Amino acid sequence: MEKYDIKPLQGAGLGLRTQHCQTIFKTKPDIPWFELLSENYMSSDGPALIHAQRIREDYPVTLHGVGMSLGSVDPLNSEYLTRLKNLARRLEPSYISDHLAWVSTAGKYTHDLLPLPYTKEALQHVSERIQQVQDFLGRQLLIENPSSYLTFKSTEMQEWEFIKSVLDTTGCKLLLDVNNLYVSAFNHNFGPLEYIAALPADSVKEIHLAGYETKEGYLFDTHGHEVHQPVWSLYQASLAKFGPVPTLIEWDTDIPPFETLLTQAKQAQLLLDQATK
Amino acid sequence: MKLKALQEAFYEGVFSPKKQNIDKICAEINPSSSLSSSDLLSIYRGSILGGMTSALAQIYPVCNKLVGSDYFDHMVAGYLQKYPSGSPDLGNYGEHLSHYIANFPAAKELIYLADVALLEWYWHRILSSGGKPEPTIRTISELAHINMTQQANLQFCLIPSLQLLTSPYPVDKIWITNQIGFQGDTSVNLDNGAVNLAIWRDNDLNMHVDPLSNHAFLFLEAIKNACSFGDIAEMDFAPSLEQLLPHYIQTGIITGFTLSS
Repeated sequence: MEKYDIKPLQGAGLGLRTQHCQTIFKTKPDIPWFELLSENYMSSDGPALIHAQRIREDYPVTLHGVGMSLGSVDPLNSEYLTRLKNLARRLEPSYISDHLAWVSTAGKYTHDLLPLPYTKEALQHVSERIQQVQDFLGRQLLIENPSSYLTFKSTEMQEWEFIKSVLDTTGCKLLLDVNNLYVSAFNHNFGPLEYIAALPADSVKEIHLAGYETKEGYLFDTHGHEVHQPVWSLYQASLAKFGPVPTLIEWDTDIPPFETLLTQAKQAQLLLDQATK
Repeated sequence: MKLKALQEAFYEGVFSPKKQNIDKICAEINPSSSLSSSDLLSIYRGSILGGMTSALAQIYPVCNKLVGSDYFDHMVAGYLQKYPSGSPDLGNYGEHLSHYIANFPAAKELIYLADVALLEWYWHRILSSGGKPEPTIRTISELAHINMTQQANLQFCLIPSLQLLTSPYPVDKIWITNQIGFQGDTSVNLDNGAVNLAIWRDNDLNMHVDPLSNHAFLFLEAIKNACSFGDIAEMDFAPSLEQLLPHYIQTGIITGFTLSS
């Protein structure tokens, strides 16, 4: 039975970070929703889960993971999925998402989102796994486009073609990380607008925004900076195509004061409001 | 190359960067306009190993401080190769670092470091894990209804978060004096002798690192090893039971009991 009032997710939310919990509990900021990193809350009665449940009393939440390893050839981790399902039962998230990437091989985890070759073999493999996960969780999954720094010689299609096929085959939807798209487009020299144009208008259910770093010869996705101007521009183009999709400010390293995140979320909300008109 | 072989080759190219491993995976990677295949692989190597090293530095902040971050990074580089992560949760990684340090030749002079690492690991795990007692155990208040003949079959239950640590060095003093913001006497005399410690979290989520007498350590260790009260009553420290039992019930470390038939 549902414990919480489930409304359609909308507006510009924030990723919940431990160091901001007390501020949020005290000030109850005007934020429409929070994203929780699934792996941080999987202990059945740990203090982190107590915080998450307290947040959930006041805000809608989504669960976003990095450990599903959807692209890996390893068997799906049933313990992980069971914990995720139990967590979802407790928190009733609006969405559950993970990445179009692989994280582990032969049971060894790299804790990084590693690129897939965009081949027919990988397409079939990932699609089957997404279907298995959706069947197990009993709900639709959102998959996020990763940022990447290399491509494989065996690749047979563009990333957007690969993603569109995955969505068509599995019925899952896309969490479009606009920062990742910008980073990958720069690194692999493709047009991000072409990517957006190729995706169906109803395919994107959530958007992520974050910051990157400029390195010698490539862009590096750190999620440790304010959103860069070209990413804001690409975000506006995304909203024009996909509508006012719920959007998250994602900040994972060198986490700033909560006020900084609020300012970024307000900026995103402004663009969302413009897209709604 | 098939997907399985590609992923295995990628992993080897990152964690075992011998020339043959790097050549094998780089043959599958397109160079970019400005970076070679090997350079591109290095981006991932730096990100993966950097992320795991950073996670270990967060779990082991005192060890990191004691040896300095450059030395710490050098020390754990071998650990990353030797002990792959077996969990999707990075917070579960690093369990064997104490054992690794104990056998790390360059750290042999830092004779206390492995025990400090063990204390930090226990602290980390207790801090992030659940700690509710099993719902099936009987509460302490029910002890009054246990008759004399049943007492020998009693097994006391400990708060699940409890970890016991014994060290020939004053690792609790080393640990506390190296916490961020510690103010006070930072001198530590390694000749101060061995310590026994109970590391645990109470029901109000407060963390504790408590020194234990030898008898208290043996008592709690016996309970942890599922010894019956009958067995415990015959151990060398039995004369202390009159003080130990009510004390650890009062602190909340002993949470209840079970009764075997």
